[in-house]
Amino acid sequence: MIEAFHVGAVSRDRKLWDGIDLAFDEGEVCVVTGPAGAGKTLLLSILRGERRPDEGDVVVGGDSIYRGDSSAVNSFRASSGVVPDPFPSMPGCAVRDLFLLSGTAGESIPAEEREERQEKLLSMMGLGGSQDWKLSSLSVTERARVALAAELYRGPKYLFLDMVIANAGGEWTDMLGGLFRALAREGKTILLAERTFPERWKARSGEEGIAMGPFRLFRLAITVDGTR
Amino acid sequence: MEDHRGAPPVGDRGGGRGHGGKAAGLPEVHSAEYRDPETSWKEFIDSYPGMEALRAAGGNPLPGYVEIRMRPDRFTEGDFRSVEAVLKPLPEVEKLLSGGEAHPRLLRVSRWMNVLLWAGFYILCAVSFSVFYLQEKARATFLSGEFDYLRERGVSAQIIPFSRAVGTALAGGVLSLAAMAATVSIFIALSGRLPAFSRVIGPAAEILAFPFLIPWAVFIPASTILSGGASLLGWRAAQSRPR
Repeated sequence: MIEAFHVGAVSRDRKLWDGIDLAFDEGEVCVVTGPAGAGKTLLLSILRGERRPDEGDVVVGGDSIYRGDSSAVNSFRASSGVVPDPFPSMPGCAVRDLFLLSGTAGESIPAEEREERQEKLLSMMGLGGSQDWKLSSLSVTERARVALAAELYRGPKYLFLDMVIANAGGEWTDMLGGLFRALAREGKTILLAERTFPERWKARSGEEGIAMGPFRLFRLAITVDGTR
Repeated sequence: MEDHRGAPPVGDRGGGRGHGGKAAGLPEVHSAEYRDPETSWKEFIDSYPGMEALRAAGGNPLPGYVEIRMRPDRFTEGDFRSVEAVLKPLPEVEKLLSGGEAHPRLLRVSRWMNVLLWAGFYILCAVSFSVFYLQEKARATFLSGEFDYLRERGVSAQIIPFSRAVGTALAGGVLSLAAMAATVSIFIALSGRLPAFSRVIGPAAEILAFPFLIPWAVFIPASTILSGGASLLGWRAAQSRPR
């Protein structure tokens, strides 16, 4: 479980927000929405232990990731996947190399399973056979899907996805919604930062979401009947 | 290595073998070998064919001699004088051939050559280190996206530069070991095929002698440490650059 207590952030001497309390349970898909410049990316960075909040604290599984030792934040990061926006340019890096990096960061994947698993994930994202393509040659939508596939390759417990739905393209919204619900049913926690909540997705917390500072928080219904 | 020979001709009255043994016992001397007048004549004829007429009158005009090889680490003017001082008073020794007046000059040239070669070696080390450092810095900058990717996913920020440094140190060590093995092989092969080469540089067997093993033993860890150090410094320089 990820809990944020009274977190606040300051950017360029301007207070963006403060006093935000959040809790994300295992097996949840949450979407944080807000206008451009509200600090969605910053909030995700704080929640995944990348940027210390100017106020408050973040606790994962009962341990503070900012006030504890560095091993706590490292082990949390090791069990997390992240797709940033924009995805960093890695000159000369091919799709296969991205999977290799992802595998290096996580637990070792048996050699005989690697190729098959990569191809399965890429095919699921509509990019089968793209292992040798250079990342720099991919479009924004392709890059977002490849980056997500590379994260799923490692099987992280938590996923932090910044603008993945917007970047992946409208035709992928339903498929990704289904994928995230399936992952949540496996006990994974998925946090998304988007400008708006995807239209055809069904939120447990109602169409308006829960207002939190400049953000709105939506919890995606995991079951078909929307009970969770 | 240098040519470190001197040769006192020993008169025909004999005792040369004994003087060879005496010279060999001196601390400055690596080896001393006596050549009797007949061997001396054969060597002369091999070098200057057609001069057999010199012996037409009968008798061997050449004396026997003792070839003395100095230890490489005792190849100084003082050590030469000390050996000469022991051999000169002996009644059987007619002459000491050690380069005469040219010898001190040759030693000075040799010393300066040594200094120049060592300076060249240090410059080569410094240039290699700088090139390696810049290469590692450029590589770390080029791969910064990949390193950030790993760091954001829980790979310790200390492990990445450390593992890179260990890898480059190992590569440096293995490369210098290979370079050393290649040098020794080439040296031994050339000495076997070109006797002139070993006359100039010295006997090939010496390269495996203890005093020569020490620089080898220092060279490999030094290049290993320098490679690892260049990698760490290159990484640090790349990280301190503004993104």
